Amino acid sequence: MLRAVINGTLLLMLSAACLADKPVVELVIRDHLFYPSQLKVPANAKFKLRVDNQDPTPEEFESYELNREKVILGKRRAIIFIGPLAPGVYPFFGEFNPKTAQGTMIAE
Amino acid sequence: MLLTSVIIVLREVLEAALLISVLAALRQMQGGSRRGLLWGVLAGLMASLVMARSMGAISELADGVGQELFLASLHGVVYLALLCIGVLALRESSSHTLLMGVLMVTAVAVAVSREGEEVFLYISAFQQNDEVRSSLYSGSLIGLGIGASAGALLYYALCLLPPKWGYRMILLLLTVVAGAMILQASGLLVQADYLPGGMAWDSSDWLPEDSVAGQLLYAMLGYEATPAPAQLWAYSGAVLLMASVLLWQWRRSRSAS
Repeated sequence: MLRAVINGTLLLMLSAACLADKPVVELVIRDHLFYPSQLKVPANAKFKLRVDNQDPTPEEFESYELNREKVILGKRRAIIFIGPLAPGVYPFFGEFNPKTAQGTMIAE
Repeated sequence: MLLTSVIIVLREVLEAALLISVLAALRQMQGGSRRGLLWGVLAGLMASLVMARSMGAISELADGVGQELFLASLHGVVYLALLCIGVLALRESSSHTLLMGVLMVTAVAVAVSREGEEVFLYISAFQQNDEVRSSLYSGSLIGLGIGASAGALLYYALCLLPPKWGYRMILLLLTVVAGAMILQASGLLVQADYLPGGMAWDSSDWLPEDSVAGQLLYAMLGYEATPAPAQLWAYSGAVLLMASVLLWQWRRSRSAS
């Protein structure tokens, strides 16, 4: 029982430590396009994607490969935690404007 | 634009429609009124309008992951409601009680509000735009039509089954849909960094999520081509819990009669 409590506490401290130094990657939505459309991200580590939607309209960040889906309202910012990713290329798109809003994430 | 609208609205409608048809078939089989479910749909639509308006503020809560936490808790509520509905359905004496009605309306309303919210946000993004408005509306209507038809098809198929098998099928579907809720909820918690990420497997080569089969499986089972291990644990736990509670209840009711 005591060991479980100690393990749990250590785990909590560890995850708190991880939380503090997660790398942040920035992505901007403007005129229904992603900037940059090619995004370099760290492989094998969880990171924080900060999406800044500068359009007045909502957009949905979506990626089947990344297993992520989040609506970002007009003129708002949102945070999406992604990873750890194996090195590779992961496409993403804006579900509300799938023809124009497209990008790829390169994990390396 | 037309096709995008069809796909977005269909995806959302399909999930809610399947849940509603299973509950409606259960209600039909028990000889109860299905009007309550209609109230659930109406309440859900109204709630989704409010949610669509306040999603910006909700998103900024909890250090920017308020949206995930909020939606995950909605999924949790639907899971619990379905679990209780399953149990009550197996107890002859309680299948017509007020509690059963309340649970069904809650499950439908919450499911509809969650799906409707996204549709309203999508429509709100383009309705000011004169060029695309007509394709936006016609696409959305087509999506709604296809989703509702799929739901109706499932409802009549379930009603056509012999009662004994229909009942079992409904309980099975309830368990599967409830499991999908937890799968989605845990996925949202991974996205919010409340659960660890990672990839348990990758089946996107032989069953891509954006294929028709993948979308159907997503709506019904919550299929994901690259689930996180934490999602699988949560899903197995949720399905196992519901299946064992239902089996236990089923045995109890059989030995009582």
